[in-house]
Amino acid sequence: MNALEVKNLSKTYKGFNLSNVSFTLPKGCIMGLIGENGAGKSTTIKLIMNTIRRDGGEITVLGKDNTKDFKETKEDIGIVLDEAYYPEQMTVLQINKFLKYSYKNWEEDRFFNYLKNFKLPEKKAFKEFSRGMKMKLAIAAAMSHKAKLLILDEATSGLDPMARDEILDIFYEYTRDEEHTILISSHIVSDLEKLCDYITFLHNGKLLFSEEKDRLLEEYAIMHCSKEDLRNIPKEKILGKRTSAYGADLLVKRSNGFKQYPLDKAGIEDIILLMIKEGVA
Amino acid sequence: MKGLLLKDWYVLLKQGRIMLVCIALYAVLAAGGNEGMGFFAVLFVAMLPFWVIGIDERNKWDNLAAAMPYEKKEIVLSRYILVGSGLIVLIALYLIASLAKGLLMPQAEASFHWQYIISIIAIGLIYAAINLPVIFRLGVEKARLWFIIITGGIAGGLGVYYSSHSEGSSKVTHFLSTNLWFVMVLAILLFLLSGAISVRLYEKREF
Repeated sequence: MNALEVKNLSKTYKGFNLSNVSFTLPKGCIMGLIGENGAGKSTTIKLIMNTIRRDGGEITVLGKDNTKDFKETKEDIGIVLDEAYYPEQMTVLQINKFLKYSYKNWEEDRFFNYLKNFKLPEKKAFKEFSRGMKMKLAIAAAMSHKAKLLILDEATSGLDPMARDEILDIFYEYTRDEEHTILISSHIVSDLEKLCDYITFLHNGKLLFSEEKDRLLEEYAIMHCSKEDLRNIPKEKILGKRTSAYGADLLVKRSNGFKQYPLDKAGIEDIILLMIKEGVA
Repeated sequence: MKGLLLKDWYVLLKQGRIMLVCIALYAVLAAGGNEGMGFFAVLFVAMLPFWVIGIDERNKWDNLAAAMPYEKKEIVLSRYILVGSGLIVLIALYLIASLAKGLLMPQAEASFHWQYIISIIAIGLIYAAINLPVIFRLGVEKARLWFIIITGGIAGGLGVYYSSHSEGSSKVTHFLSTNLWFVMVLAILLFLLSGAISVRLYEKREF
């Protein structure tokens, strides 16, 4: 069963158009949502959470249409937005009480365990927290009400590498339960490459791909060739290109041939950077 | 909804403490005989949601609340409940202070009048009923100008109306003062209607 199904999703703002975005996230998996600023990641997440109205398309979250009785479904979703957004005057203890009355399955002990692990002070006002501390608190809250789906919008940005690593481990541990699923958007591609089973890449409001990470890494490659060779390669087979005085690095699909050329493994970052440079979008 | 009310309470305790103290003080002063203070107290109670919504806007709280297991309807209605419960507490304070005054100063003139209580509750309900839909539609920041226009309009309009000493205005004043329960029912209906309008307006907003 799929935890999340997005079909032909569209939303238009003045100067921005999210068009026909479709992807599926199977239960028990982690999907990374990648794209530059303004690509449509947060808009997609807001549409999934039904906090903004879509212009077209369908969204099914945990098997239910997100426009019908979504309140019940939201009990099973742990959400971390790009900021923590708790009232800055509240302390962690007060936030715990508020969340206790907000989520039916609130697990106070688990919440305080996370706080202890994250070394967050319980009595300090939220406004005195650093961005990293705020995000850790939001992550602790999202993971303390038996959520089946975690939706994380730039949840690891603002954290130092150590804290990020610690949190990625927690996310990884969370999906060991096959009922647990994560959708995470981030600018930090290396984090997503480490963590995710699926990668969905948005660029200028359009979906460039939504694929299994391993398949992407197997299928895409970087081909090194001279400028002369470049002229002989059909343009439709070049998915991305980076030229220099010495030659060119091309993003290609292994299935399109090119056995005569040296091919290097392409990382996720190479794939998305070269795709944007070539303007395949 | 309990969570939302609790959150508002925590916010008020931290940032609206002076306002809460003023409400309590004015209620006591009103019971002591200074009836004008009761009107200030009730306006402060009616303004509590504006205060909380303003702080929420600064913290972008609505973005998170919309993603939590709350319907937009609950978010709106919790603010109406805040006004309702604020009025109940205000009246309770006024009654306690009046009783205390009666016990401590038996010779003093009784300050407890049902007519007065009904009047101030009605004013509180009507004031909140008129302003809250504008705030839910525009947000506190953008609604500020409307807020001033509405408040000034009501105060100015009433002032002009009463100072006109026309036969019509005297009749209306007489009717309202002798039919306070009618005024109360009207205020409650207006408050409920305002709640329904606010829900519709807030549901159209995106976060």
